[in-house]
Amino acid sequence: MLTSYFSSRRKSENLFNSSLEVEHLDAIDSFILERMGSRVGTGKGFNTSVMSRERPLVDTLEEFSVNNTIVTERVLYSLIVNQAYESDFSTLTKTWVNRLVQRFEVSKKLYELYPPGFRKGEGSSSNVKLYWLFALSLCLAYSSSENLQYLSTLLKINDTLCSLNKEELETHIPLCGLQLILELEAGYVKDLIDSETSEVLCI
Amino acid sequence: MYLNDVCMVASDTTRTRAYIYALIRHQLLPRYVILLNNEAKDLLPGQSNQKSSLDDQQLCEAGEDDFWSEATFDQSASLTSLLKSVEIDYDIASSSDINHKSVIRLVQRRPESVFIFSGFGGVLLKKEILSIGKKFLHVHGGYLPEYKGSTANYYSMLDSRRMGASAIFLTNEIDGGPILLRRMFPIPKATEDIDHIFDSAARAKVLIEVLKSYVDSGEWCLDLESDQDGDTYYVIHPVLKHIAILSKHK
Repeated sequence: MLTSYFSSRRKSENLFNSSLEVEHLDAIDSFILERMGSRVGTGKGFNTSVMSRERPLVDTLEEFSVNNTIVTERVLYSLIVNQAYESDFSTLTKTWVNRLVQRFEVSKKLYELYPPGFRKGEGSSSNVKLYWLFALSLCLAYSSSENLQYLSTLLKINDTLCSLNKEELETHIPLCGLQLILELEAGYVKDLIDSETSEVLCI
Repeated sequence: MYLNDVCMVASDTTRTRAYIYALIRHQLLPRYVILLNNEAKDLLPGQSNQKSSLDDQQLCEAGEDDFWSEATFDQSASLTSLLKSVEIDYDIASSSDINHKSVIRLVQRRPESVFIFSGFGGVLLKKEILSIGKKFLHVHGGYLPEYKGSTANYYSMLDSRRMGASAIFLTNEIDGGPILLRRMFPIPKATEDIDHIFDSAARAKVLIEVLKSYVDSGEWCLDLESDQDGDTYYVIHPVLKHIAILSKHK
């Protein structure tokens, strides 16, 4: 089971190995990838030196309330920028990550909008960028908290992303960003195996 | 010995078998049982048509460990035969869902106030049945309030190399009712059959301890009045479940 997991993830990583120049990325995506690389201890696969240094202007997490309609992409950008800068896993960050985990685990989907109450989603649930952004947020959440629920949800999100074809993904997501979340996930899983079992993996 | 004021709502699952074997073994018999019926061809969560991967000797060895004393039960035993063997009155409900009107009617007509709940996995009790004035005693697979939700014991095994079981009275909040008793268990030697043997055995052991305490004291004593804290977990990814199963080898 574990060998086949690593082998299939490696196949996906190779498939998403991109030569995309970082200057072709949106400023906010460049920023996120740069901060992700330094925040969680990797930067492989892309050149961080030429990336944006300015903190992008995003809504602050305090501006979101479940009493209003939530635009998922906006809350995800806000979460990631917040997570990339905060030294610990704040209660507000945890609350929003947990809300999104709950929505995803119950429906296995992320919707573009959540009307007041944050229950049933509206709009499209096939916007792959939302899943990628959520995976980035989960990487940061797991690296800060070591809460295994975040790793479990990350594995499910990445299973979904890996099941899509490259052409479908690359129009919406920087492939080097996809490679990053797969590398991070595999690293977390390997660390967990090392700490929990005496299993020796040939990966 | 028949328990005053205690009945049971049970589904055709391995957990129900663990409970009934334990109840018979300890002579703590409910007055009456409602058997939820799965008429569909497909198995529902908690059901298994496979024999345990553990052989009789492994099960006996597990049963000798005090923590796993309720692990020895026949997973394929007929529930109705078991109930008949100890003369427990029962009805077979026409639905697999405790929230169905026909099941609510069966519960309502009983004079007893507490029902041990052993339904199919993943079923939540809805407002209607929770408001009929009966208490539903459920044993959650996980140490509360830290480990709420689904497959909580696998997360707990990875975090602390322990499992848990917690007896609660059900409320409309998932695993959020008052806690009667909670116990931790070491990871069993044979981790291959956690879902159907050891999770059920841990829950059965806690159930028996709660019922003994009720018989001794004549009341339902609470360990924690409220269960508001802790994290909620969702079905664990198979890769993490596999690592949890391997974690005994460290």
